[in-house]
Amino acid sequence: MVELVYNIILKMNFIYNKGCDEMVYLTLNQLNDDSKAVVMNINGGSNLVKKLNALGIREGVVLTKESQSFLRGPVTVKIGQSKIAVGYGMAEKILVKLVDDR
Amino acid sequence: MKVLLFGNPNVGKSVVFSRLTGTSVTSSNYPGTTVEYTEGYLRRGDEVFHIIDVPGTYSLEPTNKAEEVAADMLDKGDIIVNVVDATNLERNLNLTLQLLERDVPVIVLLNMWDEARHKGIDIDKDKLEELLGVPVIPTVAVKGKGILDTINIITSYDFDNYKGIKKMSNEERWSYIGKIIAEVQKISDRKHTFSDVFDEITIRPLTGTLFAVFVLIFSFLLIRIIGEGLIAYVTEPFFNNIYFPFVNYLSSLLGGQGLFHDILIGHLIGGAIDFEQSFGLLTTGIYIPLSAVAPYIIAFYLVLGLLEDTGYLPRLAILMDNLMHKVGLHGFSIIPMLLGFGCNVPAVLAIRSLESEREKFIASTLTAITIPCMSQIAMIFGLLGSFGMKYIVYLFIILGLVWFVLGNILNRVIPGFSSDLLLEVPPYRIPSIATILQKLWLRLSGFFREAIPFVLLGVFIVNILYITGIMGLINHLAGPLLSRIFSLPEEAITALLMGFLRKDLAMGLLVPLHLSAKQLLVASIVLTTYFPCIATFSVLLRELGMKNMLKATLVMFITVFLVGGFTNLVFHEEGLSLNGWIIIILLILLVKKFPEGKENRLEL
Ligand SMILES: Nc1nc2c(ncn2[C@@H]2O[C@H](COP(=O)(O)OP(=O)(O)O)[C@@H](O)[C@H]2O)c(=O)[nH]1
Repeated sequence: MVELVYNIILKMNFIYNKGCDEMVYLTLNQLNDDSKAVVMNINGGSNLVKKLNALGIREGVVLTKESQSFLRGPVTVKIGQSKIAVGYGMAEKILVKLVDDR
Repeated sequence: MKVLLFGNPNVGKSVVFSRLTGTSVTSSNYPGTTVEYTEGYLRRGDEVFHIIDVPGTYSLEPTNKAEEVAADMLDKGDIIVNVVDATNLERNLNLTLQLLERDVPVIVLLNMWDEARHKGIDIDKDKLEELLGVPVIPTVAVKGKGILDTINIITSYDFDNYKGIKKMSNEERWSYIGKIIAEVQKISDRKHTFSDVFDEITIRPLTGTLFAVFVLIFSFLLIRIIGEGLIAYVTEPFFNNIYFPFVNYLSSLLGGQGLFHDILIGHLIGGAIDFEQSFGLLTTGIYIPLSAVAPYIIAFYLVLGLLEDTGYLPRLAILMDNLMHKVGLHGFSIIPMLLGFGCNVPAVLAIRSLESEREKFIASTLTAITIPCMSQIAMIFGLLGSFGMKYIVYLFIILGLVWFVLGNILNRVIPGFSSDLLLEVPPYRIPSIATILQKLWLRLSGFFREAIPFVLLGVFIVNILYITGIMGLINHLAGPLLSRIFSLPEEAITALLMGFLRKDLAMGLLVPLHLSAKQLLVASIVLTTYFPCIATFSVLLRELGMKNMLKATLVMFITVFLVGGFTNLVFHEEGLSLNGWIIIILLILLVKKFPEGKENRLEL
């Protein structure tokens, strides 16, 4: 419940900050399997940003979500040639926008 | 001259290292358990090159212990060999550029060149060389290709004209990498291969979990079959047909009794030497490590090597992430714990790579208390297994429950933060038999070096304690406690004492007591959960520090009395009683009700 409210607040903040255009951000968890998205923002401390950056997860990069484990399990994403598993808590902090690649 | 090997984790750096130096080191297909570095030498004519294998790192801005070690070592080198995974050039170049921003000259190895080819990745090596301004060499480390070129370039490096690149911000660096990639790399489309499909199956939650259960059961059975096979067809025949006549002759030379005889050969059981019960240095002292335990050590490390080198373990870590969070850890910690089934020492060393103090404490305590090492398991198989597989299953169920309940409790009472899983998943690889055997040999010889002296020392001490009568005294003083709580005979105290030295020896001391199945089960549980052996103890002390070690020890003693006593109370010869199951279920429910909230997930 708290989680949900938190997520909604987060999303609202974002839309507000970006000046209410039609862009909708999702967290990595909310993304559907096998969909492609671009990382818009990493909503965490500098340490998290640094850690993700080292593995190539950074603002502006395009990734494909491969799968997500049950309940609050890790999300697996594909970036370029590498595959990376991101824990649920971290994935919540990664905001992405769907890429329409049709 | 100092040569530093730098690279992302899992790019084949250890293989390059052993190719350059001729020393063997262990390599595994999963990133991130080595924190310490390895050193070796390369001789070329009169010149000696000091080669250092720096722990794998993704960046020079450290985010964990291994990366700190790596960053600290940078300035100590005269030349850097940057091993790059050619199948993953973009991500790897991030480190390469950071290295070039420093002052130490760099050589770039495009390793896994074979795999890159196979995947349809084409890299223009000359162009890359031109853009980076340093030598670039394609290599296939496992086959030794490109290693000679590397040595030639190291020995003839033009240091005076080295110029790196200017310092960049993260954004600048990534955009520069983008430019480089656009110029040098072409990826031809390829169809999905069998390995891709297999990967999907093993990583998606539903099929993946089924597959994981299958893998774990299969591994267990395989270890059992190989271990038993080696004992039945190799070590037993050797000891009975070749070694027996030798010690028998020695025994008669010594006159069949006396102080010397007792220490070297031990007591004759029914007039003959019994390798399991005589308890002399040359009989039981040699028999336990070489005949009873070594076959299982071989079996375990063979199977572990396969799991490591195919790249399955990171997938297991992903699937286990949920479960591990219940005990305050994340999925990656399953890897040290699996190592613990071989020996707790490397497990504790691998736990070092976990991020927070809290995770380290929980992981080491759980490993030391609930994970029996292969030496002990081998003896348990031999002893308890003779009453039926059922008891072994019960043993693991009970240990599993202790792991879960204790882990939950620790998760709720230990302050501090736990981190989240972030793990690169390497592609599946067909392991090379040569590397697996080499690694097996390395681990096996490590076992011999550790086990034989300690078992011999233990046998010697036991004999001295018996001969001097001290043992009898201890049995009388502490024995009643044992029999009251655990229903074990007084003499079992010897086993508990020797458990400090080695757990396989301790199990061996139970043989002459002719315990019932239930008593053996209780004794096995007690021996697993109580104090770790001295080797584990000393690394725990080093890793955790005095204060946390004392805390862990306290947890251990409480656990051993509760769990040993509990099993003794509720286990009938057929299995756990109804009351026992009810208590267990209540306990798990109770643990769920424990005040939550000590865990702050990461300092995100
Ligand atoms: N196909 C292929 N596999 C390699 C090559 N070099 C190393 N490997 C494998 O890659 C895995 C990781 O190697 P390792 O040396 O442990 O990586 P490190 O973590 O960088 O030290 C092992 O399973 C190696 O057998 C190579 O050139 N080609």
